[in-house]
Amino acid sequence: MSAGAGCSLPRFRWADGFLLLFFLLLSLGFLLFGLSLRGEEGLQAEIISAGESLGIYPLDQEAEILVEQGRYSNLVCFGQGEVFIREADCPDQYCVKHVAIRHRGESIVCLPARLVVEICGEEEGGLDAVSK
Amino acid sequence: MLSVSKRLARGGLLVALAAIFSYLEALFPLPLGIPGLKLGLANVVIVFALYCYGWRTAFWVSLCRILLVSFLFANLAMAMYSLAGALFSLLVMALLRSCRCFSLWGVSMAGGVTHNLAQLLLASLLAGTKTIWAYGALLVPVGVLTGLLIALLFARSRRALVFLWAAPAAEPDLDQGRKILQEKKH
Repeated sequence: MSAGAGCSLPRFRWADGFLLLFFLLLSLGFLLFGLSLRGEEGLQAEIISAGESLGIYPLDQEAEILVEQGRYSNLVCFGQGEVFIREADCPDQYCVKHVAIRHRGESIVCLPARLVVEICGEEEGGLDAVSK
Repeated sequence: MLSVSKRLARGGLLVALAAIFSYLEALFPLPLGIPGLKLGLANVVIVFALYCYGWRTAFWVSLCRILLVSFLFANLAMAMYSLAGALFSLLVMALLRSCRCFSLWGVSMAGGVTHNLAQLLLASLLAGTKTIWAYGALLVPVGVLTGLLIALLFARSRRALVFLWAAPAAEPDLDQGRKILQEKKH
Protein backbone atom coordinates (compact mmCIF):
# COMPACT_ATOMS: atom_id res chain seq x y z
CA MET A 1 0.00 0.00 0.00
CA SER A 2 1.73 3.14 -1.16
CA ALA A 3 0.75 6.76 -0.74
CA GLY A 4 0.59 7.33 -4.49
CA ALA A 5 -2.15 4.73 -4.97
CA GLY A 6 -4.60 6.82 -2.95
CA CYS A 7 -7.16 7.54 -5.62
CA SER A 8 -7.53 4.17 -7.34
CA LEU A 9 -10.43 2.06 -6.16
CA PRO A 10 -9.65 -1.49 -5.04
CA ARG A 11 -10.96 -4.37 -7.14
CA PHE A 12 -14.06 -6.24 -6.00
CA ARG A 13 -12.86 -9.79 -5.30
CA TRP A 14 -14.74 -13.06 -5.37
CA ALA A 15 -14.68 -13.35 -1.58
CA ASP A 16 -16.46 -9.99 -1.36
CA GLY A 17 -19.13 -11.34 -3.70
CA PHE A 18 -19.68 -14.37 -1.47
CA LEU A 19 -19.92 -12.09 1.54
CA LEU A 20 -22.49 -9.92 -0.26
CA LEU A 21 -24.49 -13.03 -1.19
CA PHE A 22 -24.35 -14.22 2.42
CA PHE A 23 -25.65 -10.90 3.70
CA LEU A 24 -28.47 -10.87 1.15
CA LEU A 25 -29.51 -14.37 2.25
CA LEU A 26 -29.29 -13.25 5.88
CA SER A 27 -31.60 -10.29 5.30
CA LEU A 28 -33.96 -12.57 3.38
CA GLY A 29 -34.01 -14.83 6.44
CA PHE A 30 -34.86 -11.88 8.69
CA LEU A 31 -37.57 -10.87 6.23
CA LEU A 32 -39.15 -14.33 6.37
CA PHE A 33 -38.93 -14.23 10.16
CA GLY A 34 -40.69 -10.86 10.17
CA LEU A 35 -43.38 -12.09 7.75
CA SER A 36 -44.00 -15.19 9.85
CA LEU A 37 -44.86 -12.91 12.78
CA ARG A 38 -47.27 -10.86 10.73
CA GLY A 39 -50.99 -11.56 11.23
CA GLU A 40 -54.10 -10.19 9.56
CA GLU A 41 -57.03 -9.28 11.81
CA GLY A 42 -57.68 -8.67 15.48
CA LEU A 43 -54.20 -7.43 16.21
CA GLN A 44 -53.17 -6.27 19.63
CA ALA A 45 -50.21 -4.39 20.98
CA GLU A 46 -48.32 -5.30 24.07
CA ILE A 47 -46.50 -2.75 26.21
CA ILE A 48 -43.33 -4.14 27.72
CA SER A 49 -41.27 -2.16 30.19
CA ALA A 50 -37.85 -3.46 31.22
CA GLY A 51 -38.84 -6.95 30.06
CA GLU A 52 -42.14 -7.05 31.98
CA SER A 53 -45.51 -6.91 30.27
CA LEU A 54 -47.72 -4.01 31.35
CA GLY A 55 -50.74 -5.16 29.40
CA ILE A 56 -52.16 -5.94 25.96
CA TYR A 57 -54.47 -3.55 24.12
CA PRO A 58 -56.46 -3.94 20.89
CA LEU A 59 -55.44 -1.74 17.97
CA ASP A 60 -58.99 -1.00 16.78
CA GLN A 61 -60.05 0.86 19.93
CA GLU A 62 -59.00 4.40 20.63
CA ALA A 63 -56.96 4.61 23.81
CA GLU A 64 -54.12 6.60 25.30
CA ILE A 65 -51.94 4.99 27.91
CA LEU A 66 -49.37 6.87 29.91
CA VAL A 67 -46.50 4.60 30.88
CA GLU A 68 -44.54 5.89 33.85
CA GLN A 69 -42.01 3.25 34.79
CA GLY A 70 -38.53 4.23 35.78
CA ARG A 71 -36.94 7.52 34.79
CA TYR A 72 -38.98 8.49 31.75
CA SER A 73 -42.65 8.48 30.79
CA ASN A 74 -44.16 7.72 27.37
CA LEU A 75 -47.67 8.39 26.10
CA VAL A 76 -48.73 5.43 23.92
CA CYS A 77 -51.67 6.02 21.56
CA PHE A 78 -53.85 3.27 20.06
CA GLY A 79 -56.54 3.51 17.42
CA GLN A 80 -57.50 2.90 13.77
CA GLY A 81 -55.42 -0.25 13.60
CA GLU A 82 -52.16 1.35 14.56
CA VAL A 83 -50.15 2.43 17.54
CA PHE A 84 -47.58 5.16 18.07
CA ILE A 85 -45.95 7.11 20.87
CA ARG A 86 -47.31 10.65 20.97
CA GLU A 87 -45.19 12.15 23.72
CA ALA A 88 -42.20 11.17 25.79
CA ASP A 89 -39.67 12.92 27.96
CA CYS A 90 -36.79 10.67 27.01
CA PRO A 91 -33.67 12.52 25.79
CA ASP A 92 -33.44 11.19 22.24
CA GLN A 93 -37.17 11.28 21.26
CA TYR A 94 -36.61 8.42 18.81
CA CYS A 95 -39.79 6.68 19.97
CA VAL A 96 -41.86 9.80 19.19
CA LYS A 97 -40.31 10.26 15.75
CA HIS A 98 -40.91 6.61 14.84
CA VAL A 99 -43.69 6.02 12.30
CA ALA A 100 -46.93 4.42 13.55
CA ILE A 101 -46.86 0.60 13.42
CA ARG A 102 -49.70 -1.67 12.30
CA HIS A 103 -48.36 -5.12 11.42
CA ARG A 104 -47.61 -8.12 13.58
CA GLY A 105 -43.98 -8.25 14.67
CA GLU A 106 -43.39 -4.54 14.32
CA SER A 107 -42.31 -2.67 17.40
CA ILE A 108 -41.43 0.75 18.69
CA VAL A 109 -38.58 0.77 21.14
CA CYS A 110 -37.65 3.55 23.55
CA LEU A 111 -34.18 2.65 24.72
CA PRO A 112 -33.79 5.29 27.46
CA ALA A 113 -37.11 4.27 29.05
CA ARG A 114 -36.49 0.55 28.27
CA LEU A 115 -39.97 0.46 26.77
CA VAL A 116 -41.16 -1.75 23.92
CA VAL A 117 -44.54 -1.48 22.22
CA GLU A 118 -44.94 -4.60 20.16
CA ILE A 119 -47.74 -5.83 17.93
CA CYS A 120 -48.84 -9.41 18.47
CA GLY A 121 -51.73 -11.65 17.42
CA GLU A 122 -54.60 -12.65 19.65
CA GLU A 123 -53.40 -16.11 20.60
CA GLU A 124 -49.76 -15.31 21.07
CA GLY A 125 -50.40 -12.34 23.29
CA GLY A 126 -50.10 -14.39 26.46
CA LEU A 127 -47.21 -15.21 28.68
CA ASP A 128 -45.28 -17.20 26.09
CA ALA A 129 -44.65 -14.14 23.96
CA VAL A 130 -42.89 -12.41 26.82
CA SER A 131 -41.08 -15.04 28.85
CA LYS A 132 -37.93 -16.40 27.31
CA MET B 1 8.29 2.93 15.42
CA LEU B 2 7.03 6.45 15.83
CA SER B 3 7.72 8.42 18.97
CA VAL B 4 5.01 8.55 21.62
CA SER B 5 4.31 12.23 21.05
CA LYS B 6 3.89 11.74 17.30
CA ARG B 7 1.51 8.85 17.77
CA LEU B 8 -0.41 10.88 20.36
CA ALA B 9 -0.72 13.86 18.01
CA ARG B 10 -1.81 11.62 15.16
CA GLY B 11 -4.38 9.85 17.35
CA GLY B 12 -5.70 13.20 18.52
CA LEU B 13 -6.17 14.36 14.93
CA LEU B 14 -8.03 11.17 14.05
CA VAL B 15 -10.30 11.40 17.11
CA ALA B 16 -11.06 15.06 16.35
CA LEU B 17 -11.91 14.24 12.73
CA ALA B 18 -14.15 11.32 13.74
CA ALA B 19 -15.90 13.43 16.39
CA ILE B 20 -16.61 16.19 13.88
CA PHE B 21 -18.13 13.63 11.49
CA SER B 22 -20.36 12.29 14.28
CA TYR B 23 -21.43 15.81 15.16
CA LEU B 24 -22.28 16.64 11.54
CA GLU B 25 -24.45 13.53 11.30
CA ALA B 26 -26.28 14.44 14.50
CA LEU B 27 -26.92 17.92 13.05
CA PHE B 28 -28.35 16.65 9.77
CA PRO B 29 -30.26 13.40 10.35
CA LEU B 30 -31.57 11.46 7.35
CA PRO B 31 -35.36 11.85 7.00
CA LEU B 32 -36.22 8.16 6.53
CA GLY B 33 -39.15 7.63 8.93
CA ILE B 34 -37.16 5.26 11.09
CA PRO B 35 -34.89 7.42 13.23
CA GLY B 36 -31.38 6.34 14.07
CA LEU B 37 -30.47 5.18 10.56
CA LYS B 38 -27.32 6.95 9.50
CA LEU B 39 -24.29 6.64 7.30
CA GLY B 40 -21.72 6.50 10.07
CA LEU B 41 -19.28 8.97 8.53
CA ALA B 42 -16.94 8.61 11.51
CA ASN B 43 -16.26 5.08 10.31
CA VAL B 44 -14.30 6.50 7.38
CA VAL B 45 -11.74 7.58 9.97
CA ILE B 46 -11.87 4.19 11.72
CA VAL B 47 -11.36 2.31 8.44
CA PHE B 48 -8.55 4.72 7.58
CA ALA B 49 -6.87 4.05 10.94
CA LEU B 50 -7.34 0.30 10.49
CA TYR B 51 -5.82 0.26 7.00
CA CYS B 52 -2.98 2.72 7.53
CA TYR B 53 -1.94 2.15 11.16
CA GLY B 54 -3.43 -1.19 12.26
CA TRP B 55 -6.22 -2.30 14.54
CA ARG B 56 -4.68 -0.96 17.76
CA THR B 57 -4.87 2.65 16.59
CA ALA B 58 -8.34 2.05 15.15
CA PHE B 59 -9.48 0.60 18.48
CA TRP B 60 -8.26 3.53 20.57
CA VAL B 61 -9.54 6.15 18.13
CA SER B 62 -12.93 4.43 18.06
CA LEU B 63 -13.11 4.20 21.86
CA CYS B 64 -12.07 7.83 22.41
CA ARG B 65 -14.45 9.06 19.71
CA ILE B 66 -17.43 7.28 21.29
CA LEU B 67 -16.62 8.43 24.84
CA LEU B 68 -16.12 12.01 23.65
CA VAL B 69 -19.26 12.19 21.51
CA SER B 70 -21.43 10.34 24.02
CA PHE B 71 -20.50 12.60 26.90
CA LEU B 72 -20.97 15.70 24.76
CA PHE B 73 -24.16 14.97 22.86
CA ALA B 74 -25.78 11.72 24.03
CA ASN B 75 -26.54 9.60 27.07
CA LEU B 76 -25.23 6.39 28.57
CA ALA B 77 -27.65 4.12 26.70
CA MET B 78 -26.50 5.57 23.39
CA ALA B 79 -22.90 5.12 24.42
CA MET B 80 -23.51 1.43 25.13
CA TYR B 81 -25.09 0.87 21.73
CA SER B 82 -22.34 2.80 19.98
CA LEU B 83 -19.66 0.85 21.81
CA ALA B 84 -21.24 -2.53 21.08
CA GLY B 85 -21.57 -1.73 17.38
CA ALA B 86 -18.20 -0.08 16.96
CA LEU B 87 -16.08 -2.63 18.84
CA PHE B 88 -17.78 -5.68 17.33
CA SER B 89 -17.54 -4.32 13.80
CA LEU B 90 -13.90 -3.36 14.34
CA LEU B 91 -13.13 -6.90 15.52
CA VAL B 92 -14.79 -8.40 12.44
CA MET B 93 -13.11 -5.92 10.08
CA ALA B 94 -9.67 -6.59 11.59
CA LEU B 95 -10.18 -10.37 11.27
CA LEU B 96 -11.44 -10.19 7.68
CA ARG B 97 -8.64 -7.83 6.73
CA SER B 98 -6.00 -10.15 8.15
CA CYS B 99 -7.30 -13.15 6.21
CA ARG B 100 -6.28 -11.43 2.96
CA CYS B 101 -8.93 -12.81 0.61
CA PHE B 102 -11.29 -9.86 1.10
CA SER B 103 -10.75 -6.43 -0.44
CA LEU B 104 -11.61 -3.11 1.17
CA TRP B 105 -15.17 -3.54 -0.16
CA GLY B 106 -15.81 -6.79 1.68
CA VAL B 107 -14.13 -5.63 4.89
CA SER B 108 -16.09 -2.38 5.07
CA MET B 109 -19.33 -4.10 4.09
CA ALA B 110 -18.92 -6.65 6.88
CA GLY B 111 -18.15 -3.79 9.25
CA GLY B 112 -21.40 -2.02 8.37
CA VAL B 113 -23.52 -5.15 8.75
CA THR B 114 -21.95 -6.37 11.99
CA HIS B 115 -22.23 -2.87 13.47
CA ASN B 116 -26.01 -3.05 12.98
CA LEU B 117 -26.28 -6.69 14.07
CA ALA B 118 -24.42 -6.03 17.33
CA GLN B 119 -26.82 -3.21 18.17
CA LEU B 120 -29.78 -5.40 17.27
CA LEU B 121 -28.45 -8.16 19.54
CA LEU B 122 -27.96 -5.72 22.42
CA ALA B 123 -31.45 -4.28 21.88
CA SER B 124 -33.05 -7.73 21.89
CA LEU B 125 -31.18 -8.62 25.09
CA LEU B 126 -31.98 -5.36 26.90
CA ALA B 127 -35.58 -5.04 25.81
CA GLY B 128 -36.24 -8.76 26.28
CA THR B 129 -37.97 -9.36 22.96
CA LYS B 130 -37.17 -11.51 19.95
CA THR B 131 -39.47 -9.86 17.41
CA ILE B 132 -37.02 -6.97 17.15
CA TRP B 133 -34.92 -9.26 14.92
CA ALA B 134 -37.44 -8.61 12.14
CA TYR B 135 -35.64 -5.26 11.75
CA GLY B 136 -32.66 -7.27 10.52
CA ALA B 137 -34.36 -7.44 7.13
CA LEU B 138 -33.87 -3.68 6.92
CA LEU B 139 -30.66 -3.29 8.88
CA VAL B 140 -28.55 -5.88 7.03
CA PRO B 141 -29.00 -4.32 3.55
CA VAL B 142 -28.56 -0.87 5.08
CA GLY B 143 -25.31 -2.10 6.65
CA VAL B 144 -24.14 -3.39 3.25
CA LEU B 145 -24.92 -0.06 1.59
CA THR B 146 -23.31 2.11 4.26
CA GLY B 147 -20.28 -0.18 4.34
CA LEU B 148 -19.80 0.15 0.58
CA LEU B 149 -20.24 3.94 0.77
CA ILE B 150 -17.71 4.17 3.60
CA ALA B 151 -15.26 2.12 1.53
CA LEU B 152 -15.77 4.45 -1.43
CA LEU B 153 -15.30 7.57 0.70
CA PHE B 154 -12.17 6.09 2.29
CA ALA B 155 -10.63 5.09 -1.02
CA ARG B 156 -11.34 8.55 -2.43
CA SER B 157 -10.13 10.52 0.59
CA ARG B 158 -7.04 8.46 1.37
CA ARG B 159 -4.84 10.79 -0.63
CA ALA B 160 -6.28 13.86 1.12
CA LEU B 161 -5.47 12.31 4.50
CA VAL B 162 -1.97 11.30 3.47
CA PHE B 163 -0.28 14.02 5.53
CA LEU B 164 -1.25 11.96 8.57
CA TRP B 165 0.69 8.89 7.60
CA ALA B 166 3.73 10.12 5.72
CA ALA B 167 5.59 10.62 9.01
CA PRO B 168 7.77 7.50 9.63
CA ALA B 169 10.50 8.38 7.11
CA ALA B 170 11.33 11.57 9.03
CA GLU B 171 12.44 9.65 12.15
CA PRO B 172 16.24 9.91 12.58
CA ASP B 173 17.98 6.57 13.09
CA LEU B 174 20.09 7.19 16.21
CA ASP B 175 21.72 3.74 16.32
CA GLN B 176 22.94 4.09 12.76
CA GLY B 177 24.35 7.54 13.59
CA ARG B 178 26.28 6.21 16.61
CA LYS B 179 27.75 3.39 14.53
CA ILE B 180 29.00 5.85 11.92
CA LEU B 181 30.54 8.03 14.63
CA GLN B 182 32.33 5.07 16.22
CA GLU B 183 33.68 3.92 12.86
CA LYS B 184 35.08 7.40 12.28
CA LYS B 185 36.82 7.37 15.66
CA HIS B 186 38.63 4.09 14.97
